[in-house]
Amino acid sequence: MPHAPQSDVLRGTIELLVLKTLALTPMHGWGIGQRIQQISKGALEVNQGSLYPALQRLEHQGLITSAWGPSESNRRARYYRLTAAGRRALGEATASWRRFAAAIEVVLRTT
Amino acid sequence: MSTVSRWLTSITARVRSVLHPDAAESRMDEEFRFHVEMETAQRMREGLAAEDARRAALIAFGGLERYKEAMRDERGRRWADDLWMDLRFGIRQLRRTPGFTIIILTTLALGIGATTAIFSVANGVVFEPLPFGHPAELVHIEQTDRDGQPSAISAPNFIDFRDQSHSFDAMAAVDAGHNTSLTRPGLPAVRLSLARVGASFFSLLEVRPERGRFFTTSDDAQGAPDIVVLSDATWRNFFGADPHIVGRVISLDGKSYTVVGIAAPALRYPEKTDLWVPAIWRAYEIEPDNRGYQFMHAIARVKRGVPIQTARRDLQAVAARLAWQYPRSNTHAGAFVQPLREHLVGNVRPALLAMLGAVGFVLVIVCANVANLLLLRAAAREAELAVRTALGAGRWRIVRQLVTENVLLAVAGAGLGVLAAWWAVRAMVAFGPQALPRIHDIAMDGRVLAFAATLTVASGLLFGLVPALHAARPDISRMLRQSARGSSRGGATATRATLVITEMALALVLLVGAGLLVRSFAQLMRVDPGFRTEHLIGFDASLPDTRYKYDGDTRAFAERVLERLRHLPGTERVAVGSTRPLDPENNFGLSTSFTIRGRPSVREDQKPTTSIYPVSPDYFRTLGIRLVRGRTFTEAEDRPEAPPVVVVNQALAQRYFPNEDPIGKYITMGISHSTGPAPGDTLRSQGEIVGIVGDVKWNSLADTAAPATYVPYGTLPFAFAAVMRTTANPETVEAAIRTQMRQLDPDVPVFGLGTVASARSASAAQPRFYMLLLGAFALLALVLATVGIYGVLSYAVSLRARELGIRIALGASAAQVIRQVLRQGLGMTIAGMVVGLIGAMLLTRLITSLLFGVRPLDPLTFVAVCLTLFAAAIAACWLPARRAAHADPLEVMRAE
Repeated sequence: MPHAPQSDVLRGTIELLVLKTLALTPMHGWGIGQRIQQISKGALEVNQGSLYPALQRLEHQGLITSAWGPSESNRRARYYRLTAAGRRALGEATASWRRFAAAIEVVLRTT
Repeated sequence: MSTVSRWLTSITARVRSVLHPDAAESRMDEEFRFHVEMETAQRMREGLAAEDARRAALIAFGGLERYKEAMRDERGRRWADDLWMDLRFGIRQLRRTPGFTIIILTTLALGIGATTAIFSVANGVVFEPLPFGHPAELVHIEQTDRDGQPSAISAPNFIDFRDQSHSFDAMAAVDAGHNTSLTRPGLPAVRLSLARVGASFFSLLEVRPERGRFFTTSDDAQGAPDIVVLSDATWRNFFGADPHIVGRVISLDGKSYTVVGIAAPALRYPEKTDLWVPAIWRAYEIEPDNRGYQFMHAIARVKRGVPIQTARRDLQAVAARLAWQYPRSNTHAGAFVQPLREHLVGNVRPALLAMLGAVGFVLVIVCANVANLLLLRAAAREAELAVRTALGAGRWRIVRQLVTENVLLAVAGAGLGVLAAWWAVRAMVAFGPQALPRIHDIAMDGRVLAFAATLTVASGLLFGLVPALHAARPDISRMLRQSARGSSRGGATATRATLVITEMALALVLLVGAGLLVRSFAQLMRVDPGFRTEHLIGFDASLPDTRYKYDGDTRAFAERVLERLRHLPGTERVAVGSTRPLDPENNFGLSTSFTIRGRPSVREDQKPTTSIYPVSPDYFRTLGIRLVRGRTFTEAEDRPEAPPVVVVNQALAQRYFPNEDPIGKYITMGISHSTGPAPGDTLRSQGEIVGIVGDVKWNSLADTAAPATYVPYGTLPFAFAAVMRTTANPETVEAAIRTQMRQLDPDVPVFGLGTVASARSASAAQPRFYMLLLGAFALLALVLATVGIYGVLSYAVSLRARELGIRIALGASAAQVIRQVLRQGLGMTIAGMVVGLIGAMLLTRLITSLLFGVRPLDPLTFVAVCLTLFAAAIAACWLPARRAAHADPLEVMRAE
């Protein structure tokens, strides 16, 4: 297959961001991308090529579910919502990310 | 959400996407479209024109297909896609090499088809359980004679066997094979096979009646009423499956019997039996001094847990006691105990085992051939696989591709094989000899199909895995460097040579076996039956005892028959007798001891013995039996008042008159019979020997000549058969005979009407069946082995093309190249033939019982087979050798 595989770090990160976004409110794919960009004040640009596979992956893992619903402009859109398992996973992933970030911080501060 | 339900959601999502790929695809399309629209709207809000906004949105989104592909991967649809791809690729590969595919499919179809068909027959005849309860406990019992051979039992001996032994739960008398004619008002009489059996017969076999009841203890007591059990076939064919048959009275040979029960369809024991009646002893059967009158056998159920050896020793002890008690009749009488199954299928077992052996050989050849072809193919595809590996195909991906291809081949081959088997089983049932036990029970059943399926899976895995693993670790750089002309790998070449040698060896063994059977059959066909079979028609008739009670009645009937048949158009000669030669249903057998006047008297069991054939005077000339010396009977001698005379055959003359002229000697038979109602109306068969005639094959062409004595039919009118030589069309004559006989006496059924030539070929049906079967296997083996050696040699030549090209360029002549290639091929052939010859010498003795007039090590067969196989191998090697010799060296080098 000609596409370049995504790195694990990026993968893990986008999943965490998706879960976090959906924890606030159910949202469609485009909205998720927009929301991440907004919240991070444009620092994080979400690549569509990783967003949709990530959504599908999370759905297969049972962390989110999806259903058709009307969009703001009254079009049919696929809305994703967090499941109970997803909420639990978000908690774990957040804690694990904090530990990771703190560890990196410690390393960077030394020297 | 619990872990379990999360898994469930996850699995459902995956399964849904695999099962409904279109739904997943359209959802993906719609979602992406929505995304691009939203993005476009956003850009337009930022001030771009609609057109530009859309383009920008698409660019920002990136390659649509790429995402779709990534998501498809995520969905786990890849394995299904791959399988489909493998299948399509496999089919394409197989179609690209149609020759290879056809050869492999044909090989598999023939191998699996022949194997399944033979297994069905073997299954039906040998392995199919007998229709009895606990069949392993059942035994067949007989006496043994002076030579230790099994022979019939006399009633007093049976009673002592039964009452004095301890190893059996029950023992029943069986007196089978009586022809009886069933008469129904207004319908032609039919002949049925009747068995007299002891009352415990059915309970001992543990069989249940379909209707009514079987026999009970009192049914075989003296004076018990005449009752009968009908076989299912008899009930259906002759009584229209009448539901009220039980209790009805039927007429057998003019006597009334009450029907008490109907047997289950599978029950025909002892021998295609139509009717069973209780064996009520007749006075003379149980006369104390009639222990020598042997006419029946017995079956018994061994007590549970008692081994058959113990039961046998038990009966032998009883027999030894009887021998001591009754020296006159029982001195040499032992006891013979054999498992019932063995008795029922015993005489066809060697043939079936030979066939199963042949099947095994053919299967091995099939496997070797297919393996060989697949190895060659894998070798030829080394370069392709190397390229695919270099481009990143994983090892397992390649193995899977090859296995898919091979399973595809195996399944297709097996499918064709099952079709072939189905057809072959039907053909064998239709054309197989009727004498093969239980041939009509043969059908392709579940087990047979399972057998075929197992073969398929096994061959698919075997053929698929070996070359696949082999091909999965190619040395990429070496193979790319050599660009498809991989030098022969030592190991693989040796494997292929071994396979070819094995095939050749097995083919040789099969060819020798088939050759021996062909030679036997030729010998059998060349056998002089002792009479001329052309233009000869025969039949027999059963005369109801009630109306043909005494000799005079039968004699008068015979004279009327002769009179009527003599006047049919085309009749050359006509004669009557007790039987006719090569009658497949022959039931007539009269043999006795005799004394020669003027010789010292000897003990009963040392007297000479002979078969007796009552015949009318013209019988010899009608059949064309050769008169060796003396004369045959005159018309005047064909009546009881005339001075008694007999004619003997050469076998009798040679055995009992080795150094003297038997003509003029007077012999007296051990049999006499009553000729009329008065007590003094008895006649002992005897007479002066007036002539010697050639030996006749009475029962089958394979008979060895046994002493026979002919007496005038008028003095011993037992049973009735007629023979006639005619120039008219047999069918016309047969119709005329039927009409004449019906007019003569409608109560006398006519049987077996037909030409003696067809009876003769029917008597050779069983050997012909075996010969054709084994011949087909041998031919199959020969073709497969030839294909095998051709394939291997062709490949070897293509591998050596470069070397051979250089040789030709350097001036080697075509003859030299051909010789070199032939040497390689014939080397394998000769090695295979040597192994095969050793195998054949060891194995052919196992089919000795199937041979006639040929020894198992018949040199002619061995030489002929070796030459055939060698010629086939030369032909197979010649083509690749010629191709090598005529290759253009420039072409070969350029191809590098």
